[in-house]
Amino acid sequence: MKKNRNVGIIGVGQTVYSSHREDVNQPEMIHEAVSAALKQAGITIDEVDCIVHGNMELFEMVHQPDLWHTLGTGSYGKETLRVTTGGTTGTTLVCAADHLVASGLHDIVLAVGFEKLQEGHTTGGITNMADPLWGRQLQTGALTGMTAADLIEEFGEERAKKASMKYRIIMDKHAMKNDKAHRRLGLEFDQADDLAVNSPALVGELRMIHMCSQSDGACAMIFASEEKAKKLCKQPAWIKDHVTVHREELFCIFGGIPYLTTHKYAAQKLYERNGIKDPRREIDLFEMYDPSSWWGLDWLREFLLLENDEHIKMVENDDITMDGSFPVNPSGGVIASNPIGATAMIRVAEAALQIMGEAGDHQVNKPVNQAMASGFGGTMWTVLFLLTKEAPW
Amino acid sequence: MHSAKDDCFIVEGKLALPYQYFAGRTGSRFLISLRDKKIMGLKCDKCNKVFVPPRTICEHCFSNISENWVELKNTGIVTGFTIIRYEEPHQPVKPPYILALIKITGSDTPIAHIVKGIPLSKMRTGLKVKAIFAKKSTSTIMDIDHFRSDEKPKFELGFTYDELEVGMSASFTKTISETDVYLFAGISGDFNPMHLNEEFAKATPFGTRIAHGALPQSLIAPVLGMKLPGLGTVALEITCRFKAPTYFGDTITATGEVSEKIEKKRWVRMELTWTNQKGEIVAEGSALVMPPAPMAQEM
Amino acid sequence: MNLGIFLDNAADKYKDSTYLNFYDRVITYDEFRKRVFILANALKKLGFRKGDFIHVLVQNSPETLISYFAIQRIGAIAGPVNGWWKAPEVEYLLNDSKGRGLIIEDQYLPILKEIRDKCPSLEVVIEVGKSPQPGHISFDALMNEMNSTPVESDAEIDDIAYIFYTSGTTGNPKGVLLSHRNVLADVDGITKALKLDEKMVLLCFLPLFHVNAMLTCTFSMGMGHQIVLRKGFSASEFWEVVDKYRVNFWSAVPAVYQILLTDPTRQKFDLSSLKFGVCGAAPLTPETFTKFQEIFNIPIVEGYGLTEATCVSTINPRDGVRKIGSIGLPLPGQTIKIVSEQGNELPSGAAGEIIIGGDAVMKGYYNRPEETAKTIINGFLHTGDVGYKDDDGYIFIVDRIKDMIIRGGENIYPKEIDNLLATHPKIQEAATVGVPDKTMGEEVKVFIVPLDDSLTEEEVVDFCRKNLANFKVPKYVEIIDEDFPRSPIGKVLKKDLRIWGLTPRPKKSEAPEATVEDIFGTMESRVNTDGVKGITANYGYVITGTGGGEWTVSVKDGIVKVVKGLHTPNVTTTISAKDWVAITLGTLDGMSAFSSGRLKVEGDMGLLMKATQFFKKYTPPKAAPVVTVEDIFGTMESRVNPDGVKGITANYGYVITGTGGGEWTVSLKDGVVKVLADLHTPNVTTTISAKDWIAITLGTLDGMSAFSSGRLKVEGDMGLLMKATQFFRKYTPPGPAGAEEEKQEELIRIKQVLSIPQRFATGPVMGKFLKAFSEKKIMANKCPECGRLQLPPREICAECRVRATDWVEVGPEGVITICDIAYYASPDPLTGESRETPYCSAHFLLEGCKGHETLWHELKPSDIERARKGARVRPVWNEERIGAITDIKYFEIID
Repeated sequence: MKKNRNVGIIGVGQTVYSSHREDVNQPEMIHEAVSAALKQAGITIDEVDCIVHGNMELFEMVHQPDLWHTLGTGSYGKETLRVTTGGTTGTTLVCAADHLVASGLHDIVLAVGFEKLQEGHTTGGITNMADPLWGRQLQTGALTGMTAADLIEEFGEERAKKASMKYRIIMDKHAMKNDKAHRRLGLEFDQADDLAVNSPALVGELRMIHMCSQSDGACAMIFASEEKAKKLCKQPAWIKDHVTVHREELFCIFGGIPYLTTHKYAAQKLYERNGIKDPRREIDLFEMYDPSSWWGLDWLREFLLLENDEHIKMVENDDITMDGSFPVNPSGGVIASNPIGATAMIRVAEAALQIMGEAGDHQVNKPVNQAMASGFGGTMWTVLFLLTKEAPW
Repeated sequence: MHSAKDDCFIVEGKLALPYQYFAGRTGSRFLISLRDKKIMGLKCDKCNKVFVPPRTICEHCFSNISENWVELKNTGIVTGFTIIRYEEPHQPVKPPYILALIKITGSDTPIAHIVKGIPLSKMRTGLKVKAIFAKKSTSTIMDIDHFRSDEKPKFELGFTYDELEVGMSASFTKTISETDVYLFAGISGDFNPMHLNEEFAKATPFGTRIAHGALPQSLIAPVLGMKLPGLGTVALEITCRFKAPTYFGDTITATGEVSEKIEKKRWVRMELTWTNQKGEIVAEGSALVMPPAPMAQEM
Repeated sequence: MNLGIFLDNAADKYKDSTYLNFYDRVITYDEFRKRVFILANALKKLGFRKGDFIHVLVQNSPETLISYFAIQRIGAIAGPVNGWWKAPEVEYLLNDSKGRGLIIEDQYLPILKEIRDKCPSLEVVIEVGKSPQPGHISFDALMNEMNSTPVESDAEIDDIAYIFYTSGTTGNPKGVLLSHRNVLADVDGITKALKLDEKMVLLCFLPLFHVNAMLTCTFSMGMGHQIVLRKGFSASEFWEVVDKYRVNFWSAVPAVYQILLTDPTRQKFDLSSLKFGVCGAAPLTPETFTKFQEIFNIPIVEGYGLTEATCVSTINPRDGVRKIGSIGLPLPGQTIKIVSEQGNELPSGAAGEIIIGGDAVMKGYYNRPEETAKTIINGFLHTGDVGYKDDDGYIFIVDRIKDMIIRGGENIYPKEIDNLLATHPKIQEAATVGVPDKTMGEEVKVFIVPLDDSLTEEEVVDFCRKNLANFKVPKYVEIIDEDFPRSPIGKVLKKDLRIWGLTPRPKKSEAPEATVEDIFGTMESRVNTDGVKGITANYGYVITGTGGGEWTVSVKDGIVKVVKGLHTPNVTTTISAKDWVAITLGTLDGMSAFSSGRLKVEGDMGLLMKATQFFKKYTPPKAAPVVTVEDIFGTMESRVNPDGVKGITANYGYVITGTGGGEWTVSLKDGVVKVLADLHTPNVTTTISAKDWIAITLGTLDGMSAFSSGRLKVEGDMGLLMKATQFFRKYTPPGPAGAEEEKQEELIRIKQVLSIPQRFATGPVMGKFLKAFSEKKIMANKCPECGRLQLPPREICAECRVRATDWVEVGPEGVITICDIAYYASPDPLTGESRETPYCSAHFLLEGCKGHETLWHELKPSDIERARKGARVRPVWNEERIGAITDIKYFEIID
């Protein structure tokens, strides 16, 4: 990736993620995140040149939210862009902010992603993504169990189920350390067998416990040019590269994947451009968009370009825990908190916090020099980020 | 010849999306105070601005002002407006209606609402208005039902076509004196002795003088013109069948009742009756009238 | 002639006109007859014969009327059973008539269960309902036999058509036998008297087990009317129904008129279709009568009749002179006389017993020749009512003959004294009876329910002395602190009062457990959030008598405040402390209190009706504040949220483990909730520890977290479970422990549904594919470069990015490659209904396709169990194909 100048992340603000934020309206909730980000960056809204705003279409049934969220985002009298690309919205916001700063158009850009899922009808919104002529009658929102069926077929029922449940419990243990996380259930590994049987089945072997939450919340990030970033921030997280990939292949993407996935495609490209040969060694941490623990498990293979059962082994061997060799989602991931328009941004933000050393209780216990974050949206889009501790150029 | 275009068709769909909007603490307090017929705003002391509807955050200085409540008057001034003339299912009232930006007295931000009480043609910016609160609370901004012109119009026009309903009635009563009959004879030139000459009248079937038929008949004019529909009404046709004589000293009540609304023309037909003090029907008839043209106040 | 021919004539004449409209279920005349035929054939097949009694215990519905007519069609006798009766009364009836058959609606099964063994003559039970009990014949199944061969109606005109049991005010219920002639005569009389036009629309909400509604539905048949049939009277829907169906008239009882008069919602509706209302059963007060006519500008036609004379015997003319307080003129074809005790006809103005003659007079009481002989003398029915005729022949009722007191040879009509005392400001209601007296034969005694506790006996006597002839002044006055004994319809049972006689009623020793103060003090904590939604108003309560006071309950959209004193109330309710406590504790029915005037309401009736939904029932406080699992289940039945249970039938099992645990089943049958100990074939089982269950119930543990963390386990239908959570209002532990709930700030949610019409253009490729469905063809398009097939097709090959313009037909058969069984379906935003689960979506590899060239569709639900990779399938096409995905219903597995 060729950039005019380096772009650093200098501030992250998050609301608490929760199933109910009745005490605030949308702009007020956004304001909480924006204020926190400004505070961390040590700047006021006056110093922000441009604002990028995004959330899911149709989810709150509100038209032009960027306009009436002005009071929350602080975009009065400033350039403001709205971006919405489904599940990947949060990461696309970061892409846009990065371009705006890197290009030299703006020195400081604020990006805000939010969702108040309790205010809308999420399944209704998602179902409308499906082809109205063909897919709508069949779809149950974003729920599909075909990935689970595939994994079970490939690795046997017991091993696949155990691994996905272990992945789930690891994520919950991570979430327990993140006081912003929505679902913090306090699960223990010895509950795995019990949960696998007793958690209600949603679709196929996808059970309620495997699936991500529906959350309210907002995330804001502040991006600055190298000069400003260095002046304002002790340790910015630098954006080294990002790759966005789309493809349309209806919903069979979740099962019997016929071709190269966008995840794999994005990873190949990212590693190639940045000379990464062994991602698990060269990258210190991964914040992955994992809507369910089946997909999380499966997508490790895609993103890390693994062969055979390597990804299963990573879970079985505790590699992905906070103290493991390749920590995945110390924040608890999407399974714990999922305000969709913000979700993908939270991945980048959390990766950045780890680099900045500002992740608090869920800061991993090792230096993070290079971190990766992904965004995912249906039917099949991937945005993959690479952040570094050292300014890339 | 079959072309690819022949394969195209249109599929009708429908999307119903329920949502709920959390008003939040600030919004809830504003809506709750509307129920008490109070308009509350939030003030930014730093910028010296008052926001109605209240904003938790000052738009200008981006600081949190959520605790600085001020109570405002229920009056305001129109800073801009538009007249909605097309019809859509989601509209709060039937068009035409005025949608205006209203700056509540003491606030710095206008709110959008409906203005009534002024003819559409007279609507202007700078109009002083007053909030009229809804009888029933819905916990929405519609707890203010509308804003009404706070400037007294010179004349109160009568009922418009849309306001009139079949069955509405009004009447006017007057005692017919000898003087009235004489004056009417003078006005109409009808000096027929049956109205003026008692001796002559004794020989008529009535045995005494009676008033001119048109005299009681004319008592319907104040009903139509001043009461129902009222000021602004144009009478198009009045028919009258006399049933009984009016004697001197009789008290005649002329009553008009709306009997039919003629949608196509937006005219109204009214049944007319004239009765005397004994309740006898003196005359019956009907009228066709054009009610006053719609004013914004009449919606 | 008989009722069968009567129906045939109507069905031939009005064929496709609507006869019944039951909540928009429309049955035409022809269809009605067809159904009568089907049921009649079925009844014959079941072995019923001419002369059998077949009883019908079904709430108002088309099935009720179909049953009556089908029973008569085969020459049997229809025996409507009063739906308000309790088990012992129904048992008595079945054993009195020895009826062989009973058509019963499932809601009455508990009654049948109790008495079935005690009714040996009952052979066949036909059940109206979704899932009939074993041993019962399904009504629906009978109707599904569809044998609609016309059944000749060969009943003689004097054959019995109906047996109606009247409760009467003395003795056991008696079976009144009504012949075809009786019913047809009364139909003819009323049709003429009311000057009915053809094809009017009438509203019938009175119960069909009474002659009134039965006759209404019969005479309407003769005139081709449309009957808007309702299950019962509901003030809240009344005007809407009138407006919606353009109702012309109805028949009702006085209480209904009273309620309608005070209901303001009518203003919203167009009532111009109304022509008149019929009133019977009890006299209407002149006030109600005039007020109603004034407001609605339609006449109320008051009538009078007895079951023993089929139904109506006198009625006020619809368009002639209607005299207030009069029951009107005799129906054409009936003779009404006023006779002395000796049986001589009395001149106009003189009071005597009303007797009725004509074809409408019953055949007699079933199996009671003596009583029949006492009642029908020389062809005239002795009504037991005392009345007189005025000079115009209008009849006025004075009293019941049986209630008349003869004191020293003077006739005293108690009603006169009752009516006088009711005007006394401190008296709620008075009931006068005769008590035995050695010298005078009988003496006058008045029982009084006071409005004001300060009322003394002397005041009552003084009041009577001022207003009544001396011989009528009561000798005995007793002020009672309970209510009068009453019949189910609220009539004072004077025979019971006579039995009370001179022995003073025992005073209630126990002080009421609850005080008015308690009730108002706890109101705020008992708010039913659903009830107060969107309501803003002040309700004033003036509670008189000991312990009374004034309160205002102020509701502001969900927030309820109770303050002392009256504060600009929209509605004011005045009631004595005693009655208020009684109503609150459920020992006095609020409706009776209202219609008897003990509870007075001023203001908007619509608001008042809502007010009654505000609060959960008051339970006097108990000591133990600790909550046990037992408590929670024990109080469940009282905490049912009726909206939540609507239309649900299922058993929910709860296995509560640990200390204090146990097993319970919450059983739901369409609105009725029962909590039973142990597990009884549950559809859903929930397993949880006692500790967690209490925590969830008290709201300290989030149910969803408990669920997804596995602390709460559920087996069974998830959809049901989600509904189950809406069954109950929150449990609040009794006593001080639960009362102190933190006051929460009100936060407003604005709810709306956006409805957006959409149009999608298929484009040529998807269009070609969908259109091919009409010929049962499945087409795929083919990439000219890589040869890949696409299903559904796309303009461009997703791999090679070139136009894929070639078409091939594939399938229709194929194999499953992967399938996805959904156990959970999100509710449709439009309807709130979820599709049935589980359902299975799958990828099918159709013939001619290879690799991943699969088609995504649905598998037949019944094949889900057999779904596996490689199973062979074929599409099941819809008969009607419109070029949509749904043209293929689903794929089914080929064996």
